[in-house]
Amino acid sequence: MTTKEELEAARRRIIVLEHEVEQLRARNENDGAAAQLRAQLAQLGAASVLGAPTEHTQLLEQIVRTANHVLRAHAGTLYLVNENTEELVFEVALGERGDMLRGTRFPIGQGIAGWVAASGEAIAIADVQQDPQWATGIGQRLGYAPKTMLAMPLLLRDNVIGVLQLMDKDDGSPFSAGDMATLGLFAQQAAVAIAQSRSLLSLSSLLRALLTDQENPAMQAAAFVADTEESAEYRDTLQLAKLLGEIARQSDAARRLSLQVVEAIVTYLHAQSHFEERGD
Amino acid sequence: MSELLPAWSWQFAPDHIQQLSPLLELEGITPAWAWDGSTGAGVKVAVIDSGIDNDNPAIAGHVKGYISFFEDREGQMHSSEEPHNDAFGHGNACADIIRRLAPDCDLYSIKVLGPTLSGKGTAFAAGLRWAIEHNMQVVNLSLGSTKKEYSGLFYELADAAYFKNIMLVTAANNMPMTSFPSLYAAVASVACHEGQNPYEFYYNPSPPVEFGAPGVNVTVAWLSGQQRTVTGNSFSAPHISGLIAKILGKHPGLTPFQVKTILRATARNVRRERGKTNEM
Repeated sequence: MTTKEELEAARRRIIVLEHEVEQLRARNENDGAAAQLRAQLAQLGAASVLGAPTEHTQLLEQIVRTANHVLRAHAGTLYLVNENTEELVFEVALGERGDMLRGTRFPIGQGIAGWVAASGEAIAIADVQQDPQWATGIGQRLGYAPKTMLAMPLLLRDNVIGVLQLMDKDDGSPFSAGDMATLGLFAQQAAVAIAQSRSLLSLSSLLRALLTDQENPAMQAAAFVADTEESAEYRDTLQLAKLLGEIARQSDAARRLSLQVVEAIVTYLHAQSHFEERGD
Repeated sequence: MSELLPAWSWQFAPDHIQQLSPLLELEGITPAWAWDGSTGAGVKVAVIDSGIDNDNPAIAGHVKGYISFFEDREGQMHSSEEPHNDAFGHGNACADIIRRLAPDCDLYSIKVLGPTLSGKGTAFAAGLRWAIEHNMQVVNLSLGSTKKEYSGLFYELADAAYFKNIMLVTAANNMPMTSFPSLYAAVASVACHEGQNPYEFYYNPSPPVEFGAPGVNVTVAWLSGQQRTVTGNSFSAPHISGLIAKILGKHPGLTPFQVKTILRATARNVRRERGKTNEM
């Protein structure tokens, strides 16, 4: 090999290495952002464990706020699917007029959020202003005309339960494929948190009805059981709650021992999760 | 004699072996040989999506057939061959990308996404079965089902397509989860890269995703003659679908494994003439 060929080979190798370094840097940034989202979501989940309606609403708002913060987005909205009517229900829109839209219903068959709900696929759009539906509908009512958008399905056990939308990054750039990957990881966990919060909300509502006798608790109980029977996660959560209650009634020494065991399991699960994410 | 052979062996008996035309040596498979001069004329390309607007300027009346599937609330599947429109804009986008590479292909719009969520996977499977039974040559699937209960059904359909020389081109899910039939060996699975040249695609030696094609900030047709700049794997799959239509327009009768061989040989990261665009 001549010196010229060697130089050319070295130049190509440098280009490849630069590309690999750039990929690693981007991956590291995405991993960091995803980890930050997960940590904040874990705190939200713990805070919403009481299951009061205010906590449920706060959880939804905090999910949007957290995603906005980490991806440096200017605005965000969250819809939940009403399975009975097959509509999207506007739950959260951060901003001054956001409360005006809460509870507004949209058919699944239209718009970007409708597409995401129907297909179960994420999409990023770099020129939302060209969307006449947004401009004349939600955008007008919000008093906000976004330029870019990232819309992500909230998937729970293969079912779309909602759609999370972020709008306009602070630096004006469109949402990237990396942003999509990061928000995708967050959205999966957010969907689990929302489902658990909904179940707790139903349980809380049932308990209140039983205590106050203001509504028909039998019907609510039936609806609650029907709603949660399908949820293995919720059954497991209830079983965990029962066991924790049992532990809480034990002696100090037994309680502390139990706490240490639970902490060890959580540490192990975190380590395992980290191991799987790295794909080692 | 053939009765005495084990099952499946008769076609390899001396009087049944078919003599076929050889492909070029792999080194001889170039973009010029593969698709130069082809417009995909006469190649049947099905788009299983949200419908296609035949009067959209980007489509220009190239939709030659329609079928739509939807399930009612009683679980009854319905179909219609009446002309339909695109419910969201996504089907138009896919058809637009396909026509940029194969402008004279015959498009078939198989609409499986609409205003309801129920029966989505069943409608999707029915649409794919229709494409196979009606001898489409290329089928673009920029969507998939994450429901594990459909994995067997889609496996069967993917194999049926493969054995009928029908090339299924699927978009990998945008989120880190498995969807069906996106990652089966019988399909060409595609994810996105940031390039803008529609002829720039890459082969991945570490499947399941086998090819990378443009899908970041791609400007595409949407609704009402408008355009959108969008990001997602679902916009990378139609680039490969269009290219395959172009190849089949020039080399009719290729099998899926031959098509994959040609794609690999002409991929940007495989071709020997590095730095030279694939465009012809």
